[in-house]
Amino acid sequence: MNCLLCNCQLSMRLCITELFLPIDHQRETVCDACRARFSAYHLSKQCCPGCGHPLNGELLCSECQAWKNNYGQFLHHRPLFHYNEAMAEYMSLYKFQGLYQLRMVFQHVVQMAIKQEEYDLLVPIPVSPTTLRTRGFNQVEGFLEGMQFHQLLTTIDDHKARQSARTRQERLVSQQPFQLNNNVRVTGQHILLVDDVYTTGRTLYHAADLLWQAGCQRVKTLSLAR
Amino acid sequence: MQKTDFYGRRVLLNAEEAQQIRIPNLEIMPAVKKNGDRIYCYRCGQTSSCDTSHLPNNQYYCPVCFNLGRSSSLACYGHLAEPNHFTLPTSILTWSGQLSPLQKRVSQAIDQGMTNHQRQLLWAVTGAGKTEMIFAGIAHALARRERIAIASPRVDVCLELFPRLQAAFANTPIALLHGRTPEPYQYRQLTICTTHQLLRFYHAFDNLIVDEVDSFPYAANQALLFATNNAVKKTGGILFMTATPGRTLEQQIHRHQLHVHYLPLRYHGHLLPQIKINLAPRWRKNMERGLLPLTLIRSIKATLSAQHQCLLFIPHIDDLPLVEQVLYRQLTNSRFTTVYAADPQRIEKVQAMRDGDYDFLITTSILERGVTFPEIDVYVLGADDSVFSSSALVQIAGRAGRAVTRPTGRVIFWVSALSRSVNDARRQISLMNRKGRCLQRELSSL
Ligand SMILES: [Zn+2]
Ligand SMILES: [Zn+2]
Ligand SMILES: [Zn+2]
Repeated sequence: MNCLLCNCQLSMRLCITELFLPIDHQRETVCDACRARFSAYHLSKQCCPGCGHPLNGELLCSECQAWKNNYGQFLHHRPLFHYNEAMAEYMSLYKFQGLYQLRMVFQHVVQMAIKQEEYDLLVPIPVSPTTLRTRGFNQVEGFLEGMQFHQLLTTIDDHKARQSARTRQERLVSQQPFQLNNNVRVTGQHILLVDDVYTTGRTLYHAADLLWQAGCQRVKTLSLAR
Repeated sequence: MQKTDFYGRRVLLNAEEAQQIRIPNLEIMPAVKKNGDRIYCYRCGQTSSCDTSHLPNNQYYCPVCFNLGRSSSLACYGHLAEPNHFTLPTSILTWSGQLSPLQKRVSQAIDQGMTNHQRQLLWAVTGAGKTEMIFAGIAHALARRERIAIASPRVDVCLELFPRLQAAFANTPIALLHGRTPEPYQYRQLTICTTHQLLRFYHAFDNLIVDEVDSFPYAANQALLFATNNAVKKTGGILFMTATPGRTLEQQIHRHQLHVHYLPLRYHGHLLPQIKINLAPRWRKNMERGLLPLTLIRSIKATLSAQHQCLLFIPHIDDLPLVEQVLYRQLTNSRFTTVYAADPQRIEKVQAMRDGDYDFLITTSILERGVTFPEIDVYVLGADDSVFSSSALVQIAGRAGRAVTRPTGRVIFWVSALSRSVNDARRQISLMNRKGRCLQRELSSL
């Protein structure tokens, strides 16, 4: 087995004690050096409850406060990793170059984090039909492979495809890109929304807004990176 | 996209692009195919298992050549047969340099081979002056309206070749293609590119020249070997150029699949210095205890007292500080330092060595191409380590004896045991020197 990111040989250093621990060694997909380049979030009291951003005394960061003013409530978002250089490289390979096998790098971590959450429905953010045709996969669903999830949302047009070209400001005022699928009943449900990257929160708030309006009791969100 | 983009190439198109494109007679070719539980890629010729290369909904892709754009069952290739639509300048070769009689002989043989579209190998020792010897062959091929490419596994070689070729063929526009070029592709009669870029071509070239075939990452890369064969027309010729052919090419020589041209003498007419072997069975253990082979210390002292410089190669960067420490204690009066490929002060240190500010350098890499020190001795500690391929060892040994002022030089390897690579390197040097001696006799009888 080789490291999925740098292709080096993964060493099998099982010591005696590890043999009896339930550590999933088959799930080792990257080497220690590549793993060390990613930086996980350690959420604490000093972090914004809305997005995980570090706080200086205030209760909510200014961005989340703006969302709260806008929607009357804010998302309790849980990011797993910082969007650093390693994560940018990873996203470029996985999403844009389309190396579907790289879903395995974070599949386990994402699924473990999801299992810690309480929810009724697990909902991935969708990709546009054009992206799906050319890329061949939804990068979020790649992480959820083997779990039960519900694709409640569809993109209205090729909204996401053009998003990368936009400036941050343009994205903040953008139109609702999603619609709730017909015959979906979510009243009173607890929803866990999952995306790959949380940049401004715009995408997740659009999705959450639809779900709130449809009568969801609570919407929580999670992303691999922020 | 225009018609010329497709001449002799395979251009990746997604399903929508393939439907929208309006180019008459465009041939649409599949990108991958499924063979049982293996995926075969038409671009790089590699197969991979479905486990690593599947997509949802029974689609699949090639994980080997993805950085040229993903080759997948969701995409296809557009191709047009190479039409050789070129306008020729009135004067093609604008180079006016002179070849030595020896170079001239090889140059003529290569020219003949290119005319006959043969598979050839130019096996020339390090420091023989290869590039000028292919000018005649290229000039005649261009005059025959052939499409020609010169490819190298290394970007730095391409960058170095481009201005020399552009000066030699000043009236022929040349395309330079490598992973770092931002300019869009252009259809040209003469192309200089990395071997990686050859993956984009399909039956394009009438003659293809591959320089520095021995160097990483080409030598052991099946995809690049596949690409080389695919990039030339079915009737096309290939010329490999190298100082150390390596196993694959040597096998082809034995099977007579290649016409070989040897150039066993350096430009100054001398032989390569042969490698001398010293056994140092536990050199690593001893080094960790602060000891280096006595013969190594003596050799360095001998070099320095003869007013020469030397390079000491060791296998790993981690060993550099230890070797440096030991030598500081043993050679108190000499000036030296360590340098490695990613060393931020590499250029300054190499310059200081050239200026004579250092007596020797301890290093892990052969530094850049073209970094030659004229009158040096070359020592390698741990030459049997697996980081040194036989090609690398021949290149390292070839750093000695470059200058007319000192065409010989001492090349000594310390090994814990004889390895296949060390033996191969010695064998290749002996072979070239045997041929070199014959040639010297022949030349002196003229
Ligand atoms: Zn790695
Ligand atoms: Zn916040
Ligand atoms: Zn391929």
